[in-house]
Amino acid sequence: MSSSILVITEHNQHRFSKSTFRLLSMAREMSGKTKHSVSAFVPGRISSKALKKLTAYGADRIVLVENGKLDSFSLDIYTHVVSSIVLKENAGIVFLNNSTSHQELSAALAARLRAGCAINCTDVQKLKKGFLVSKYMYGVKAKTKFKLSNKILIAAMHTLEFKSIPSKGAGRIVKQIIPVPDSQVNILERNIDKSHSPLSRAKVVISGGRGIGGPDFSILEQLAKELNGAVGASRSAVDAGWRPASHQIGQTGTIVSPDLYIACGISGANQHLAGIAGSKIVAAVNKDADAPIFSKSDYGIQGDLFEIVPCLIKELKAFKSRQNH
Amino acid sequence: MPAPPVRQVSTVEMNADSIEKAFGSALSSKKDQWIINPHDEIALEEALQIRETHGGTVTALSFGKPVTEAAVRRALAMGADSGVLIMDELAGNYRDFMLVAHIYRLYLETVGVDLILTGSKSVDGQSFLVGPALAELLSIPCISMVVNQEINGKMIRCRKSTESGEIIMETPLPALLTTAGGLNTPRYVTIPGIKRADKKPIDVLNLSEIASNETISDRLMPEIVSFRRQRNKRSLKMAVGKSSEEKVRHLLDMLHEKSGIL
Ligand SMILES: Cc1cc2nc3c(=O)[nH]c(=O)nc-3n(C[C@H](O)[C@H](O)[C@H](O)COP(=O)(O)OP(=O)(O)OC[C@H]3O[C@@H](n4cnc5c(N)ncnc54)[C@H](O)[C@@H]3O)c2cc1C
Ligand SMILES: Nc1ncnc2c1ncn2[C@@H]1O[C@H](COP(=O)(O)O)[C@@H](O)[C@H]1O
Repeated sequence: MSSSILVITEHNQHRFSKSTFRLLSMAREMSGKTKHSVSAFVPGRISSKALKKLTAYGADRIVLVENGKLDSFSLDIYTHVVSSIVLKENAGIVFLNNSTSHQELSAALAARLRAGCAINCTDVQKLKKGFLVSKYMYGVKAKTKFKLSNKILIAAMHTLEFKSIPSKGAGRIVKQIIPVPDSQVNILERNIDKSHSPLSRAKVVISGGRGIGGPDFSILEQLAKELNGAVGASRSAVDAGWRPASHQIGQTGTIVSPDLYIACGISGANQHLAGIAGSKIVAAVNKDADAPIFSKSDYGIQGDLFEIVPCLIKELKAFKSRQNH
Repeated sequence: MPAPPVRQVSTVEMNADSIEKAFGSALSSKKDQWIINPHDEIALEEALQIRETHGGTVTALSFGKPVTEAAVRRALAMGADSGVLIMDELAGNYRDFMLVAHIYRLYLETVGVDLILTGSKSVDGQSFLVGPALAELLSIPCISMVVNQEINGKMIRCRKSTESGEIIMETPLPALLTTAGGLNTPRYVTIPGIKRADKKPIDVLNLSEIASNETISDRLMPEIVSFRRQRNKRSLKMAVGKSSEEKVRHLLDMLHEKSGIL
């Protein structure tokens, strides 16, 4: 049996993540060239409606382990179960999303399976022997290509650039029963921040720095709402305690690559720029015409953000209603 | 007895240039400026704080080349009790992540620790791999992206950040944590700290002392085939106008027409 491509899906029991569909579409496209079959692994329990949707995305086999212990992510038991699925499906390539949980899962799987592994990948090619992987280093300041010659490759993919394309042929559903141990890690509490769409995946990011002057980021939140975006922060804003650490953008925070990044009251330190260089368009609002952020921006507005941002919200609303007419 | 690994990275700007010329061998370049990976300073700071509340000793562990001794020395100046530097030619060329995990496993199995702290990523190679891979190899639990921790006897309770919020979890020691930016603010190195560091021991080991050639070889490492610096060139257009309204309208026009956004 020739080896297969395995996609690890992400879902919340009712719905698969967008990245899951993108990953599957990419795997399907790759399999057209390499003649591998594609398997999708669904950990935990899932609604039949969601499953039905998944079957239309080109997996030859959809492998389920319907165990409640897998309903939410736990690194140790996921490593245990997924590594056994990798072997059962004879997978040569395993694709995961680039979320924090899938990143750590990739690392643990690679250690257990002695596989090659890369995180933050933008592209994977199968070579005659081994794999060619493209990924970023230094934030997004450098793009590198690596050759890995392990038998199995585990790759956590940056899916933002991929399309999700339904395909013909419905996948066959295969139920596997694998004993699932208890996790050594006990989850005590889960605080889901519904207002906060994940920064690393956002198409529009509005971020605020020391110029915001305090914990009230409401004007940025309103602007983000208008643009369907997420709100981030500079390290200064995080260090001041105005925003949680998970909102920090930059070298020591999250790396973002949105279509539009708007920096408000951020000076543009190198460590901040390291996290935003992959943005398609950067716009900056700063009262200081000489702020370094401007030299790394496509568009700039010099002015007081407390005047510019509300005005931007107002004009955006007007702009949108003009577009609708 | 926490053991935070210390990875030495060179300052971002300079190194991207030099690696472009000779990809793969960053640790050999002399003119680069070297710093401790900022995420590892956070890991080390947390270890020092844990020692301050719970006692124990902090060992800074690093895999590198002779230049890496400076990073370990700096960790001692920050307050670590002792340092271990494992040296080999294979270190430090952006492709050593799985190798690092395997080497640490071999070393740590011989000494035994209660808690391992690593950075969540290195700011140069940023493989994100070493922490969780090491925990897996040692068969101990791993909690990544920790923003807060509390030790109670043999248990550690952590708050970790995820894309969609925060999770509080608990696990028995020994365990491995990877630190998120924002967990703490690393302390400055002081002159007395540097003086004290001179008297502290650094154990320098050759890789061959802890691993045989069969277990550790460059087969564990990927090969870099290209390294391209992203130019990030942008040509600034300032929005103009007499009032904020005019400027904002100009900006929206530019975003709409020139870049097709909106
Ligand atoms: C090892 C290390 C890692 C780091 N990692 C990161 C990181 O990941 N992310 C990060 O962001 N930083 C990071 N930093 C910090 C970085 O060097 C800067 O200190 C930080 O980015 C500055 O934040 P800021 O731009 O918000 O603040 P400042 O530099 O203080 O800039 C504030 C800006 O706001 C403008 N302003 C003030 N008031 C107004 C107003 N009313 N209207 C409009 N503009 C206004 C000012 O003109 C100024 O340009 C790191 C530093 C180190 C040493
Ligand atoms: N050569 C090294 N020496 C010491 N620690 C390292 C080394 N490489 C990686 N690490 C540790 O592993 C973490 C993650 O690094 P990486 O997987 O390279 O992104 C770092 O923050 C360090 O704590």
